[in-house]
Amino acid sequence: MALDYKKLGFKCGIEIHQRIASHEKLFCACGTHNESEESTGTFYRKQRAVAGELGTIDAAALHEQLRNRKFIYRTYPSFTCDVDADEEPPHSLNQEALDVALQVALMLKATIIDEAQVMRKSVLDGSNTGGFQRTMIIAVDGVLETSRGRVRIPTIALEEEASAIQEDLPGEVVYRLDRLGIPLIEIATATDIVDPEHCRETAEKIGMILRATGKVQRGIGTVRQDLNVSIAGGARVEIKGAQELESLQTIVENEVMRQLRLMEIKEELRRREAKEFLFKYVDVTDVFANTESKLLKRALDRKEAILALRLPKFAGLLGIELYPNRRFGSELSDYAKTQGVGGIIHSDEKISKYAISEGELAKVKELLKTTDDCAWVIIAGPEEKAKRAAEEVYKRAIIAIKQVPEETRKVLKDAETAYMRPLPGGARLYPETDVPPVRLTRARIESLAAVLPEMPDETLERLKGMLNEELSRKVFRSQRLQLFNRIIDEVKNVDATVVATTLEETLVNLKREGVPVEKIREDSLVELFIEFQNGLFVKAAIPEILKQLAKTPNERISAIAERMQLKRMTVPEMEALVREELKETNDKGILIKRVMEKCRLRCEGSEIVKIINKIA
Amino acid sequence: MYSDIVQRVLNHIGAKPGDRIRVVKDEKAYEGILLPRPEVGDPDCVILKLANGYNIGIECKNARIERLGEGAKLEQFPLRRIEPNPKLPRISLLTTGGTIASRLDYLTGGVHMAMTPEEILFAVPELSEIANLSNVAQLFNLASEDMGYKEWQQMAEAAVRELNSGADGVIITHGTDAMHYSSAALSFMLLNLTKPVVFVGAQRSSDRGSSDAFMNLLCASVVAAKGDFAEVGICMHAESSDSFCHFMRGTKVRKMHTSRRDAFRPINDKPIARVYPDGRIELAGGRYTRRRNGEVSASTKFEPKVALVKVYPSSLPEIIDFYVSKGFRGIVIEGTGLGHVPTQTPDPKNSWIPKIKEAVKRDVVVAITSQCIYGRTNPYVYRNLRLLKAAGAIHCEDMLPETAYVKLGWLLANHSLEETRTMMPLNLVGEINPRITGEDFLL
Repeated sequence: MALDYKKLGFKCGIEIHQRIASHEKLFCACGTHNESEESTGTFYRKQRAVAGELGTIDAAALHEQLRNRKFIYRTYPSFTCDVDADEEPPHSLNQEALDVALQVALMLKATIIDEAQVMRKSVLDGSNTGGFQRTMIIAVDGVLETSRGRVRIPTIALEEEASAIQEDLPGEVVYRLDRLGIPLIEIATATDIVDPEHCRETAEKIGMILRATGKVQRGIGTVRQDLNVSIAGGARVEIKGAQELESLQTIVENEVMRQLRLMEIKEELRRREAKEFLFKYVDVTDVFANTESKLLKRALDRKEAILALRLPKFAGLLGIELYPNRRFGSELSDYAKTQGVGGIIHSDEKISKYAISEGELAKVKELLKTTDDCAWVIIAGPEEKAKRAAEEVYKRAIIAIKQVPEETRKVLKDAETAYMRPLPGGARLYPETDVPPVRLTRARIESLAAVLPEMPDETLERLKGMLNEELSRKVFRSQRLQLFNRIIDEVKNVDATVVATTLEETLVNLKREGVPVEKIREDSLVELFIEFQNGLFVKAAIPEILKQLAKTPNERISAIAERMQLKRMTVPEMEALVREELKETNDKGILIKRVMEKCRLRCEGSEIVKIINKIA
Repeated sequence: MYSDIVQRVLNHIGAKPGDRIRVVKDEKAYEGILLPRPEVGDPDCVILKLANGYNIGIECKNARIERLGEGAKLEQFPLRRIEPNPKLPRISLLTTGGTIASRLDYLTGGVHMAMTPEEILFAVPELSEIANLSNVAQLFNLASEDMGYKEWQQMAEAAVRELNSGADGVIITHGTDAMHYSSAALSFMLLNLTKPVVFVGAQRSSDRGSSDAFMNLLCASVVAAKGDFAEVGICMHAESSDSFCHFMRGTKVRKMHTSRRDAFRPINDKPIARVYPDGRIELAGGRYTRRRNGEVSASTKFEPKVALVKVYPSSLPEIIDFYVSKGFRGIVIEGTGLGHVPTQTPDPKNSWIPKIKEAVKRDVVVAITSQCIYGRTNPYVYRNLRLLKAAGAIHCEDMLPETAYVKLGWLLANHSLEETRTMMPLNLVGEINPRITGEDFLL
């Protein structure tokens, strides 16, 4: 469905967080590589809302405290230390990471700040052990050229990565501390993005510039996109954690549709003359004393409560689809879940799905005193949690009468999003007084500017100069771009196409066949092409050599070639083979075929032809 | 502080911290709230808080600055009125400074050690469910490394006042560095103690949501309100997790880590109790006297001319001459191992024994503890130890060096020389543990 985004008053900005491939974390000496290691320790904490420097506690912070969650942290011998556990003050700022961030800022034509101040950004979801994230603006007013015009980049920041959620249980969240503190560059655009497709293009272009530095981490989870989206009449919604470039466009399209549908629901409620009503729930635990419903029986076994509330004028609205596979009822369910219950059952669902009987439902409706225009919601859970969940559902329903709420949402699979928490206000940043400010001198900036990496479009041009269109695009997007550059640089006159084909096609095919190509070291690949250029073996032998190298990654290329009898045939050897085959046939065509069958891996076809022409 | 050049410009346009200003430099304009300059960093850089909340520093020698108007007031803090609940035990809260009560300070750029008691309750509202904070008073506002015996005297006198006017327990908030010195001091100074006096601090300052201050204060209130202990002790995190606190005897506890929440460990002793933020108290094996009714008094005189000296290979015994010449009346030595000083050194001039003998002859009390911290000293087991004892030094059993220092200063001021020499190795307030087991090591 083609929407006129301009007419809708569409506004969209994107914040990209990219991990830097520095040796150490931003404020401590732990490593940053994404290896998996077993956790060897654990501890837990609670967190509280505290006032920012302007004396106010903001809504999001308070919200988090009210939830009274326990945060459990897992530690790792190589990747966490007392700084990560908030048991030791931060060390001084990682200069290697700072230089990478400054380079990116220069490549985005931003103005570098004279003195960067490290700030604490209040974070109370437990993802930072200190209760805050350390972050600093290093540059302002950058700009990105795109096919739809300029996208301004008001700020570029250097900050710490948060820890990753391992488990999210009612009342408890388990975090892994290994990635806490890895340096991130944050690039935030203005709301100059004009439509969902443009959003994808912007993210892609920024990603390419980041990768051009050669100093950013690659792989799943190393880059995250947070979007903010609004339409006229809707609300500003922040969507956190979009990881795949491919799904960005769909996520934004879905969000616009969600807001449009919510606006329609609000309009329908107005038409039905829905008014704000009082919060009231009924305890219907006894109704389900002998229920067939497994879900509710389990709740009863655990001595939990089953509550119900009615939403006057909401009949039929909970089932409205906001975008493919997401209904308004799910929005209410998200709010309930923040209180630690598993979800809700509502009137626009088939109750048979839950094995709730008509009789039980009738009793509930009787107790609720519902009328035909009412929707109802049933919540099961520990009594206190169920009560708070009911209140959250009520609050969300009241909001629906008045407006589309501002929210922070998280990305689920398949481009679906769910409510996470209220949009935080501005009072969340205050100075990190444990780390002194950093003077970014002219001299430092100039020396970085002198060695700026190649800009992405320059890279693509250069690649097109040595490869065909398809290959140049493959190499350009590849994780092995740096390696390709290195090989071209170190192995004089090597055939770029052979290198590109090997890196982008041969290795991929081998992996598909089950060969453990990830074991092959970059240095070995450089060596491979040096030997190739030396004439040790022919192009056709490369896949065989690689197959072997994956098994014995420490073996020298020359040794493999020797052992596997893949070394290039000498002229006398080739002549001998030709003479051998000449005994069988005189036909040049068949002759070439027969000889090649025998020595395909050890000689070039052109050489064989030359010899045959000479001898035969 | 801003540099003179920058400050002059700011004065000229009448801009002070909190005002909205615009800085124009290199054809770029930055708008935001002017903040004070911390002591570190470049004094030519003006600090601006942008609308997005971030602070940035702009080098202002060649910039134009305009004042746009008044901005938000800085450092306002909502207060919480304290409503008394007569059904709950009454406790008093005395504050002395330290990171348990901290705010952001723009003047120094660091953590500012001052906060009103109302702000404490704003941060830990659950406190009002455990006890009635019948009196909250700020005694003074010092980092604990800046305190001296006069502050101990003030704390002791204030504790007496509070306990004798009906408090069921007293909490003293205190910087962590020297908290164990203060807890030892009050252990000796308070006589006939009948109720808990609980020292509490924070390793991670309370301006952050992860601070240990909150749970520490909560657990301290539990001890003060309903702990069955007539003891002076320290209440701090027992582990890195926010699980429970230890309440530890004030003379047998030490700060054992520069920064961890669980820095305070009982030494040569078990904790008196494990205290949970939900109000539970579990006895942990440490000795204690039970709470009872009765008036408390204090004997707060302290002899400041007592030194704490550490011996080490090649240390010069002349340091004793220095102290004696300054009129010092007591020297506590942190010896090696069982309480050794360099004794039969190859060069006799390096032996500490002659100087110790002289000092004792001149009525200086020389007490011996161990820099091992753990374990009991002994005056007999080796020849060197016997020589040391014969020289007149007094071995202090398993007392912490810090505790021995405090005890000696207190004894010398409140008792005669002979009494001091007799009482130094005796167990007056539980500062000696006659029965140490393997369970007490590295607890």
